[in-house]
Amino acid sequence: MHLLLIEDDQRTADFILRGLKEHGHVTDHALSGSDGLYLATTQNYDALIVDRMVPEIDGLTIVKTLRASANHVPVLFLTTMASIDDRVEGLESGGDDYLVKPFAFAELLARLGAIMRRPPLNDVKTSLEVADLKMDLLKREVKRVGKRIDLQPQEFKLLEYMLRNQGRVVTRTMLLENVWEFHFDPQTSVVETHMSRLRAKVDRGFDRDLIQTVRGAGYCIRNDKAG
Amino acid sequence: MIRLVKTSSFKLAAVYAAVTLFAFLTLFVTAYLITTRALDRQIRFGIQAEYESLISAAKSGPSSGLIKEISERVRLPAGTAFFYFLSDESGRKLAGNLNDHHPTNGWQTIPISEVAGGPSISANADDHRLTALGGYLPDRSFLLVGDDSYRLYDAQEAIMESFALASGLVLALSILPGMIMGQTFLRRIDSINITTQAIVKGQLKERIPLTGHNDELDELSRNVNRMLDSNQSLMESLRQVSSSIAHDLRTPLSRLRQNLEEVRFSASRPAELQSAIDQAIVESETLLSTFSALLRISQVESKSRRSGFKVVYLSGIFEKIVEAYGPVIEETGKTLNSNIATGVSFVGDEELLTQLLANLVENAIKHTPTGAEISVSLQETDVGLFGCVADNGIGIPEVEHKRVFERFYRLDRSRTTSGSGLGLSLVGAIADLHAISISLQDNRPGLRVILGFPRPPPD
Repeated sequence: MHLLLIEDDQRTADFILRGLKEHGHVTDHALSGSDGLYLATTQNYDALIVDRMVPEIDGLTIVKTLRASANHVPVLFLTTMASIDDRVEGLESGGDDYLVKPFAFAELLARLGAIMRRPPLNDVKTSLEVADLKMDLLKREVKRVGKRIDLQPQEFKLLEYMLRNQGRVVTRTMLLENVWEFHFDPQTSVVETHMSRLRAKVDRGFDRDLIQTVRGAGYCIRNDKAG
Repeated sequence: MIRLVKTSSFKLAAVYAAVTLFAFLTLFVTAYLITTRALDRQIRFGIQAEYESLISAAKSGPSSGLIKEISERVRLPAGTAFFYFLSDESGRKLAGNLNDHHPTNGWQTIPISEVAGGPSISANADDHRLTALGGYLPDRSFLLVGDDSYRLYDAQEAIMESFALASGLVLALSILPGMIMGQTFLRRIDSINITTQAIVKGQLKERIPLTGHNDELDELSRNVNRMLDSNQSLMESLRQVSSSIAHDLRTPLSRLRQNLEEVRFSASRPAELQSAIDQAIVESETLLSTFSALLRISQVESKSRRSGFKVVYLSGIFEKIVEAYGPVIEETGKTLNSNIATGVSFVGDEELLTQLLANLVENAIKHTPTGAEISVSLQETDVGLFGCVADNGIGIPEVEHKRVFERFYRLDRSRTTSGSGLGLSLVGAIADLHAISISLQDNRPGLRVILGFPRPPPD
């Protein structure tokens, strides 16, 4: 993947660049907003990682400018803790996701994966499936090997989100934000509890596990023939 | 004195005095003119009647008849109201009680001293004036009938005197209270100034003394005192918060440092290093989450989020929380009961209201033993809209009910459990932002938190 990072803090940039390189991405780096905007408009990137506060042109303006010229490259915003409430503003300006500093690298990677392969909005699916698991979105029904699985509403939402991002790691925070719409960090094991119940229903009694725990990152649902 | 004159009560009194004086002046001038004219007309009317009666008496006989008539009137024992002078054509006096005259036709005003003589004129006649009617008779003799217009001057004088007296009184009555009020006002302003200066110098406990008159100055002073109270408690809590931050963050930071130091000198295998680093990351995450909780509280307290208030489906938020935490509660060996009214909306910030409720439920989960019951409810009643999160755990002693909303406040017995001590502070801040009242009650046993949602919703 060809990525662009617009970030003025050299240490953060080094941390991100090194990590992305290890995961096989080619990343260009701009230290200022004007350089970043120039690169974003002249090159073809798969995704942009944009710090909200960069010199010359701020991140929000960069994305607004790109969107105004019908450039729909996926954008992940980075921001400091002090401005957690800017999230809405960032998403409204055309950003695809939002990550608060400091963050774990796994979180950045998972979110990048999610926004890069986000299906176009008009692509309405009526069913999702992985291996022998099928989810009918109209009937709100889940079957595995033709056997019906009864899910609670939040378990259904959780599985749906995982299926839409199948093959990719989804982090705990991503699940909290997208399944429960919790924009805070719960002090109890909400995600873990629901996940273990979902696994008990989806995987227990079948020949192989579809939902896997990715250590230090999150969860992943995939058709893992080897597993 | 200059300060006194500058006070608003003095200025007000002065303006009132000026207006009243002007009104008095207008009134007196009018009265003066009307009275003068009426009296003058009355006097002239009398003179004219007398003149004409003398003329008609003279017609009945020769001019000697007129002389006799005048002489008789002058000789009347009680004296006469009128003054007469009759002269022949050469100007020689024939009769009358005046010594001299101005042989002028028609109405005239003559100072009495110029024409009068003899004892019939009172001693203070100097300033008396004679209003008189003079005319030549057919035989070329001259008749003058006059009247002392002292009544007119008396009336004029009386009016002037009463004007002067009244004006003086008005001035005194309006300026004096103005001065007294101004003086009182100045004294009280001085006392406020003394207090504020003391506060500026650091004596934060000083308050403006009240007079007990319950007037606007007392009201102002009371409000200023109230403001000072709240400032003082804010400063107090700020001081408490900063020392709590220092204290609460020092513990994990020193633990982190200690671990790193230990690993630096003793760890030899990569696995040991890795686990030490993992531990360090967990420690730093705890610190970061404390910071972000603090930031979130201050953000909520800044009230800037009020601008983003929308109508939110409150029943939906309660249901979502029950669904999210139900399994968590069951896994910890506790039970959850819920009773949520449907169709209830509220104006607020959905994200924050969700967090408020989540924090309360998590608080109940954390502070109850296995087997406890936790209940969540939302009820719309005649007296209002109420949310409730209750448990039958050990509860919170009543004396601490208020303090649990302070930042970093933790009951002694929960010092050992995890948590930043900020969960309920955030609950308090979010409730405050939405004007939701929170009351903590003894659930016998356990804790019951009642949320009173304002109806109608705040602006």
